[in-house]
Amino acid sequence: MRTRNGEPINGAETDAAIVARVRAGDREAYAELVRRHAPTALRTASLLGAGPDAEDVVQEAFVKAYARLGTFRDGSPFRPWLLRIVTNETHNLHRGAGRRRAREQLAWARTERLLAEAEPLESALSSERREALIGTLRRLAERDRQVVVCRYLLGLDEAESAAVLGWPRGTVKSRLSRALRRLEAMLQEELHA
Amino acid sequence: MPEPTDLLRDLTELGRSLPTPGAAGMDEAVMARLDEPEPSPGRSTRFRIRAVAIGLAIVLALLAAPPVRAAVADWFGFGSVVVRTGDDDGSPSGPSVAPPPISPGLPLGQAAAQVEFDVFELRALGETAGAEVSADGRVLSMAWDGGPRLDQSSSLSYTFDKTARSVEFVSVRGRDALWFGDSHEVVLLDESGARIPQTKRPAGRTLIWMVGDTTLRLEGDLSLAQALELAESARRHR
Repeated sequence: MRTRNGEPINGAETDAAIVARVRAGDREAYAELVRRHAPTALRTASLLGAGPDAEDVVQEAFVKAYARLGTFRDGSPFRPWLLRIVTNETHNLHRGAGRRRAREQLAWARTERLLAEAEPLESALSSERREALIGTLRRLAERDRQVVVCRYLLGLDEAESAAVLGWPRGTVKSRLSRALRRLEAMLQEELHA
Repeated sequence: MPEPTDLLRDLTELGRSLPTPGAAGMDEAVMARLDEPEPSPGRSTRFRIRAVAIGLAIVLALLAAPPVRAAVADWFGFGSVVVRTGDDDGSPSGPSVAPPPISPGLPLGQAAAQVEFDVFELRALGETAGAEVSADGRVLSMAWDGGPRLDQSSSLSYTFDKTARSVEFVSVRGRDALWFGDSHEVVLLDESGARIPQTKRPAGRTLIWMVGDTTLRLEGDLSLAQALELAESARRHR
């Protein structure tokens, strides 16, 4: 049993303990870290624009993380560190794909497609509200959208979001509250248009 | 007016609705990679090669531009298309260039099975007269008798290079699209991004838009309104 953060409940081994075992030469223990964090890593890659390449991106990220385990700082949480590598791999995917704006458009277009295809059967969210949310996210400035995606769509905490975005934690906090205010205002506008 | 907490709850709900495919078997796939002495260009490095190819495409396309293209003022990538705009592209003006025909043509199902991207049909035009796939499998083309031509390719690499005097940004289903209202030059790019000289030709009016990760290119004697109507009728081929 473990929580969705990958932290174990009731005596299961912690991430730090597994990392220590892997470093001590128990390579097979790494598979447990992969199993724990693959779902979040895949969601992160998908929502950051990896689309159908999310699996490839995450596999590559895990291989790189293993190779760099020597640089991992003891005592720091494993997941933000891993998600930073996932993010870099996702960005590599779009490297060279024209101008930055075109790249970001392509990334968000893929995310939107994912959201459009994930039409849930049962949801507390009406399809009208859902569409309005997706449409408003599209119009949000890229950095505002990124922080909202990290904190709420992915459910990452502030430290994890900071790692994914490569921003200081204070920036995550301030930009998030501004982004939410803008989102809310745009949403009201859209719903009452 | 709903409380901001509604917004947070709804955003969380939106995120939860996303499926997470691919987690099963990830551990085995990763462990198998760790067993490899040297990382070989397999499935997991495919995207990396593609990223490099895209970068190379840009560099090569720029290098390949002859001096007369010095007039080109700007270029940008749009889906699978490199678009250059400038004062003069040296091609005759006017929309009256007929798209090249397709012959003999495959049934669409057969052609679609040969490519790696999602293929779309235009409902408003009905059954295609025939489809063909380029030798490198990167472009699928369809035609209708006496009508327009539709080329499709994956948005993840550049396959077309277009030079035009000007281009207009329009919208298809809320996403940016490009309209070339005049004849212009089009040339195919190979996998490394180099121009394939024998494919260079003048093209007529063309609309370019994206659905999912597929870039669609509709060329023919159409008005913008007609082209947009056809584009809106695109449905995924199954």
